[in-house]
Amino acid sequence: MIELRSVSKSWDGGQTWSVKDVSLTLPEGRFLALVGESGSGKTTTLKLLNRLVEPTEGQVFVGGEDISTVDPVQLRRRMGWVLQAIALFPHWTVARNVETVPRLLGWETSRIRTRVDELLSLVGLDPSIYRDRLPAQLSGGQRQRVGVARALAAEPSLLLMDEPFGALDPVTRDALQRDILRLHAELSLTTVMVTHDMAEALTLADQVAIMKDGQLVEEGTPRDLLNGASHPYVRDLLQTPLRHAEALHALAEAEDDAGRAP
Amino acid sequence: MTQALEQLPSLIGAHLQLTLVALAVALGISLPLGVLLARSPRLRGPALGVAGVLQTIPSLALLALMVPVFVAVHQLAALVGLDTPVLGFLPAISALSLYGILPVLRNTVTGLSEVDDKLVEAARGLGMTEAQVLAQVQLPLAAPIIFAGIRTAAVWVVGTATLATPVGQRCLGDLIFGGLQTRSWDAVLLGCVSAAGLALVLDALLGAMERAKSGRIRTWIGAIGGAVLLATASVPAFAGLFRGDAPTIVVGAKGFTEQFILARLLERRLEGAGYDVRIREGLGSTIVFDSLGDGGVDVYVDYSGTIWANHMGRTDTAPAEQVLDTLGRFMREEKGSVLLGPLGFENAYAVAVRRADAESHGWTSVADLSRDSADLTLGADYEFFQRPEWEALESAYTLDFGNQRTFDPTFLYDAVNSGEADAIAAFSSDGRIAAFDLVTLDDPKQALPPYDAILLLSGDAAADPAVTDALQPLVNGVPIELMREANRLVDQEGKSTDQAAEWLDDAIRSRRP
Repeated sequence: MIELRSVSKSWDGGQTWSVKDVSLTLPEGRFLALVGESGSGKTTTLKLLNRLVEPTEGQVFVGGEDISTVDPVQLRRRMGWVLQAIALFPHWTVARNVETVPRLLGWETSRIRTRVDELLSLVGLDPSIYRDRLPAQLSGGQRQRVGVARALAAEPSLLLMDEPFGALDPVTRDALQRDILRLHAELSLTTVMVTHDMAEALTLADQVAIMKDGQLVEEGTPRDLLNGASHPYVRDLLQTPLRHAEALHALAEAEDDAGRAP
Repeated sequence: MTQALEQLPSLIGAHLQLTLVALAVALGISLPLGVLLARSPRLRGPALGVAGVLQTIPSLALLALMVPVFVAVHQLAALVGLDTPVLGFLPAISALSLYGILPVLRNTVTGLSEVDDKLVEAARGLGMTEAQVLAQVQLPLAAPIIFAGIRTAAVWVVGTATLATPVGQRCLGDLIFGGLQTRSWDAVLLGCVSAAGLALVLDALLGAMERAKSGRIRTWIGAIGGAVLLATASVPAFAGLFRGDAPTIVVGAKGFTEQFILARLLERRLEGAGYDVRIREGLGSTIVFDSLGDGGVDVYVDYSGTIWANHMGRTDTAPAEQVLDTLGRFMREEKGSVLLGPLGFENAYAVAVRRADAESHGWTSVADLSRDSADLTLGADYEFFQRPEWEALESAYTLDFGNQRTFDPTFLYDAVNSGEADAIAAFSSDGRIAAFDLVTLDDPKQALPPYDAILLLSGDAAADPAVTDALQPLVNGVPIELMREANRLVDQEGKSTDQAAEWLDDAIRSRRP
């Protein structure tokens, strides 16, 4: 579905590289997490996929097509796009926000109406309550749900998400993560998510790529990585979620013991 | 007051027309330019700089500067056989539009650049084209700031449009300028209040559109308000419909009482001969001369000395007869215009002083002033101290006034009467010389050239025998006593210029059996 072939991006004519020689293949239906710190090049890599950023070197293929030959506007309308900043258009209602891409594609009004209600239900928002609200009247979690509905409106097969849960509180984040996993499976999406949270990547994705200083340092399934990452940086990154898991596990066992005591 | 009230509806209409067209042009230029500048920061500084500089040019000067520009345009257009106007609507619109550009331009640039980059990226990432990003996201989000700019521009343009009178465009300024000259304070007040009211109405309408909750309500407010404004703005056009299709003659007048009265006298005579007459009054002295025949003015009264000194650049003086001959030739050869003849009175510059001072100091001629001039203040109108006559007068009598002050011609006589000035460069036909008991001093060295009132016609107007027949009786038909009395009726007795013109017309007719 997606293939990056030795893709590099420099903003200053090759003096420094935000992305350097990244090659990656993502088969259809998979969920890829791009993990890294700020400045690692993960967001730039994501934007290379919908031509918000053009590569300095290398090629990007989506669905077998070299995307440099595709009109970027048409390309983007075929992909879902979720931003960390959520970036709902504040002057439009929830429904109008969700309609953005179907309208750009010139869908019929009746089809758009049905689709909006369907999508709001899909992301857990009652259409009769939320359809005509303005973004300012929603909570952070509700806004990002609308953001996801907007991304999925035109039935894309590819969903791109840039730190989609970054601005949310833990409870909301957890609920939305589960919803995303459900939608990924139900709609047979191919999903690429950028995150700096290794635990999030391991629990959501079935393919994890770790980036550092513009380079892809390691890539594999969560299981492979947990069973023995080769790169020291990746092993460091994995320590945090593992320590949390162990601590929680120990806590649970201690409580079991206490429970069994007479 | 009645005269002012009668004019009011069509003046408000003309003023609104001017404002709306100027605003439309300003928006048409500044909105696209603002969008362009928001995208290219490199051009932004220079372009906003130029617009800012235009704003600092005094509005009256910007308006006046448009006239020579359009004279040049007229001369170029004439080469390809086109006849473009030099006065009135076009120069006024051009200056007012330039004036309205800055606030809209600045707010468009600011509004667009303050839209959150994330939203623009989201719009692009969802697959909007650049035009869609602009139309659906950037402009709607910048709209409140852009609207504020439009409201500022609307209020500025309504106010500045009152200054279109001197370039020959009908507007509420006619009441203000005319009222100042003829001391009709009620007309001045009416003009000011109407202009302020118009500004408030426009601002309120734009404000209501801005606050409207939905696009539909906004459209309705815009449509109804726009319809009312357009209907008001077309009052002058409707007035034109009922006027029938008689040939139109444009009578020009400079901005003082005598000129207002004479323009109406010419109007009465020409209407009597079956012409439609439009008066363009309050014109600058140079503007009216330049526009004679060049698409602007068909007939007006000027003064021989003005043309002699200002337009021919002569610094010598000559007997009146000889000046008239020379001028007639000059007008025919240089301007293609015709000097029909003198009206029979002179409105020369004359140095006037209070009678009590003249008697106590023994002043009878300008020469007598030279020994006391260091202690005296000389008052004059705006142009006098720049004119060659002043230089001539100064050197002929070795004058060196302690203080020189310029006054509006309206207040010049009050200035000497109240002691603000000790001597003034008065106009010899002004009724206030007698009314304020002033004395005019002799000019034995003839430093001041003769200022015979002369009737000037454009080449086209002069080629029409019906026009010359209608005006010929005025040649040598207006003696100084009648002119002074007509001026006095307005300046002292508060009569309207229409009434004074009617009185003068009757007085002239009864002179000739």
